[in-house]
Amino acid sequence: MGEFKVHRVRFFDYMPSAISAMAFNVHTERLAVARADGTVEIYNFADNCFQEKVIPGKDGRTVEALCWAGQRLFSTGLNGEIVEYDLENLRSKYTVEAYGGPVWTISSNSQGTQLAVGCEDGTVKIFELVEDSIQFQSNFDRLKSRVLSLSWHPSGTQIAAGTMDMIRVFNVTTGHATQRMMVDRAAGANKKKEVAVWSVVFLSDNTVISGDSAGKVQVWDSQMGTLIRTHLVTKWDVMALAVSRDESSLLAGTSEGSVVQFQFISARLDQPDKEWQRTRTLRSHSHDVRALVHTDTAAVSGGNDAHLVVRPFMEKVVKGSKESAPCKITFPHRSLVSCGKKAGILLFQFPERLEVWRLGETHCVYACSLQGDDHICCSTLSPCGGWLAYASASSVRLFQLQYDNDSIALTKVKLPKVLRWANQLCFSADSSRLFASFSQSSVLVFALSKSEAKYVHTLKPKSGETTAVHLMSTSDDGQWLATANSDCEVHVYNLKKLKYHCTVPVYGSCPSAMAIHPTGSNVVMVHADQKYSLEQKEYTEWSRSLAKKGLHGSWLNRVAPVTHVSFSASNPDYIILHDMNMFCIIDKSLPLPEKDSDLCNQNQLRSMNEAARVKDSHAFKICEMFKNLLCVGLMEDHSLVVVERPLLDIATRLPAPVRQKKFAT
Amino acid sequence: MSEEFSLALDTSEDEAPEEVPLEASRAAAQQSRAAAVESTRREKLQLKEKRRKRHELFQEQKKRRLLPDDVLEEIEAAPPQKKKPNEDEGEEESEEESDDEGVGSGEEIDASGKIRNLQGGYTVKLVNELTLAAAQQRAAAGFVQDRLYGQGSRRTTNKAILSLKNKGPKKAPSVEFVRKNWAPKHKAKAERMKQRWLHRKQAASS
Repeated sequence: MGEFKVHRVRFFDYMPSAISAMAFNVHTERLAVARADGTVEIYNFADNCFQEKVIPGKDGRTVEALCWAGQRLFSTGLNGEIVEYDLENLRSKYTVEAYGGPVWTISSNSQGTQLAVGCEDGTVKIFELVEDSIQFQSNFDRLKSRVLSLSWHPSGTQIAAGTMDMIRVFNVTTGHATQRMMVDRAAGANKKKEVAVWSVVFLSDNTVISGDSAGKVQVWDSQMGTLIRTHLVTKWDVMALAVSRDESSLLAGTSEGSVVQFQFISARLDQPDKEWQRTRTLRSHSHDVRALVHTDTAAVSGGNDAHLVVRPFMEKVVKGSKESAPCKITFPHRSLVSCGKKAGILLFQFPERLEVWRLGETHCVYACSLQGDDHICCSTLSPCGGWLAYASASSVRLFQLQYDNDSIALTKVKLPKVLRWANQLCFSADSSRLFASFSQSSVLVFALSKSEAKYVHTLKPKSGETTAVHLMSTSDDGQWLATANSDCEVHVYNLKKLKYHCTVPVYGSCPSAMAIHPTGSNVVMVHADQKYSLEQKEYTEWSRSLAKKGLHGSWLNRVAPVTHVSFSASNPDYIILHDMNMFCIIDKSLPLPEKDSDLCNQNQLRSMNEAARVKDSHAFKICEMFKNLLCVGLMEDHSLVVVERPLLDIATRLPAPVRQKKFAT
Repeated sequence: MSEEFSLALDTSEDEAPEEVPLEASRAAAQQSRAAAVESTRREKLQLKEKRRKRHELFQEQKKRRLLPDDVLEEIEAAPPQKKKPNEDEGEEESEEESDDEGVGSGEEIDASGKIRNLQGGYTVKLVNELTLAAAQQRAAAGFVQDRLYGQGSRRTTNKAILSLKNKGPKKAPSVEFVRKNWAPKHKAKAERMKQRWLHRKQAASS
C-alpha cells in the first residue's frame, strides 16, 4: 500500500460561530441556520442534512431572527434592517430599513402574505410581501418596552408579542392590543430585575405559551388573559420555543444546554382532559441553546457551542433506519483549506482574513485581511503556489506570490471589471487560467500572464440553470472543467474548444466532493448520501459494479459527508477521500468489500501474514488515526498533509457556560 | 470650714451686687461682638485660603496629566485643516510642516493627516464618527450581554467545566493544568531587573 510522511497541522485556529437563529421550511425540507457573524447556511434535510448553500455575512450585520415566507428567506438584525436573500446567487437581494431601531424578531403568517417585525422602540410593524420586495403596511400600538418575540395565530388575525414583564395580544386588522398578560418576575434575589419574554408561541386553540428569562414556561389563555399553568424548567433563561405542526408537542431550549419537551396529553389514560405535561429532557449541548426547530420526526437545536444537533424522536421513526440516527454537525461541509501542492504552502480561509503558511514553519508566513465589510466567500491557491485568489459578495481579488528565502510577498493583479463577485474560484493545473463561477451557473475564464488577467470567455450550461455552482474542478492536462451546483447537476466543459461538453445524469443527492482524474478523463463525484461515481459521458465499469454490489453498510451510515477528493501521482488506481473523522484510500485494482465483512480492517491486516492479507484486503483502506479533520491533501513529494482542529481547542474558546452543580464535585 | 461657708453665704446674700457702669458694659459687649465678627472673618479667610490651595493643586495635577501645550495646539489645529478640500492639501501640508519645524523634531504626519506619530512615542488618531444607529446597535447588544452574562448570571469558565469532566473514578488533570500567564507584572519586573543587571555587568567588564 505504501507509507506516507505525514505533516500533522494543528495551527489553523478556525472558530465556528455560534448559532443565533433557525427556520425550517416544511414544503422544501430546507433548514436555514443563521450564525452570530451573519452567515446564513441552508441544510437539505431530505439529503442527509447536507449543507447545500452558504451565504457569507458582513461586518456589522448580526442576525437575530430568520423566517421563511413561502420560498423567500428573510432575516433581521440589530442594525435595524430586514434582509431578503437571493438563494440562487447566494447573496443578499436587498435590505429594507425598519425605522424602529434594532429589530429583535420577525415572523410571517401561515398564508405567507405578511411579515411582522418587533423593534427596540416597542412597535410591531407589519410589512406586505409584494413581487420582489416588501412594503410597509401598518404599525401596531406602541408598547413601553422592546418587543422581543412575536407569534402569529395560525388564522392570521391575531399576534402575540412578548416584551419586558408582559405579553400583549394584538388584533392584526385594527392594530390595537386586545389582551395583556403580566409575567411574574423571578423569585428571590432577582425580583428587582425585569423578566424578558424571550419567546412566545400562539396555538390555534387560542393558547399562548411563553418562555422567559426567569426559567419558566407558562401556558396562558389568550381570550381571558389568564394564566393556566406554570412550569419552572431551569434556574437560567428559556431562550427558544418550538411547536410541532400538529401542535401536540412543544420544545423549550434553555441556557443550560438542555431541551425540554412538553406534550399535550392527559394526566391519566382514562381522563379526557388534556394539558401540557413535561415529558423528556434532551441534553444535547454544553452551552446556551439559542434556536430550536420542531420537525415532524426530530428536534433540531443550535446554540453557543456552534454544533447543530438533530435528535430524532424514537416513537416517530423506524428503529435502525437512517432517520433514527442522531446527527451532530460541527464543521462546514466544504473545504476551508487550499494546498499549493508543488510549493508546500497552505492557505487558510477565515471569514475576514486569509493566512498563508509554509509547511515546516511555526508561524504564519503571510496574513492578509479583507478590505470592505463583506466576509470571504471562497479562496484558492494555484497548484504551483504562485497565485492566490479570493472572492466576497462585493469583490474578487487576485494576487501573485513571490518567494524570498523566508518570506512571501504578495502583489495585487488587476482583474477585469466584468467580475464583480464569484461563488467559487479555481485555477487550472498549469496556473495559466483562472475560472470563476458567476451568476446563472456560468463560469468566466481568465488568462493569467505575468502581471495581468485578461477575460477570455464565458462558459454556459446548455439549459438555462440559475443555481450557484459550489464545486469546481479542472483536469491535470488542462482539457476539462467540471462544475457542480446545488441542484445536483454536474456539467463538464471542454477547455480546448471552450464550450460545453456534457452533463452527468442527475442523481438525487447533491455532490459533496468532486475531482477529475489526472490520467484518464474520469470525473469522480462523492454524493452527500455517501455514494459515488466515475463518469466520462457515461458511468464507468467500476462505478457500475460498485452500484450493483452496493456500498458497505458502515460506509453508508457515516454521518459527515466527504469533503475532498484527490489522487496520487504515482498510482493512478488510488482515490484519496476524507470526511470529518477518517480518511480513506480506495484502490480500484482490489476487489470491493463484502457486505458482512469489516470495513475498517487495516489494523487486522497488519497483524496477518502475507497470504491471509491478500485474501482479506479490499478496496477501501480507511485510516481513523486522525480526528476532526479539516483537510487531507497529498503534496507533490508524496507527503500527506493532515489539517486537524481538535474540538477541545474550540471548546475552551466558546462563551461562558452556566455554572451547574453536579453531584460529587 | 464653717467660717468659709458662712463667709461665702454672707457675701452672696447680704451685699448688693456690684455696680457696673454703662460704658464699661457697652464697651464689653461691643468688644465681644467685634471679636465674634473678627473670628468668623478669620475662619472664612482660612477656608478660602484652603480652597484656593486645593484648587491650585488640582489644576497642577490636571496640567501634569495633559500633553504639553504645544502638542495640544497642533492637535487642535489639525481637524479644521482636515475639512478643507483636497485641492488645498499641498498648501496644508507645507503649513503643517512649517509648524512642525517650529515645534520640534521626531514628529511625523501620516499622508492623510489622520494619524500622527509624536515625540515621546504617542500616536494621535481621529476616530470615525459614530452614528445613532451604531449607538443603538451597541446598546441592544449590551442589553443581551448584560441579561445573559451580566451581574447575577451565575456563569463559570469553559476550563472549569471541562476539568469537572475529568473528575471521576479515573482522575485526570484539569484542562489548564499549568497556568503560564500567572503574575505577569511580577515577571515583567523581574525580566527588566535581569536585563539591567546584565547590562551593568557588561559595562563593568568592558
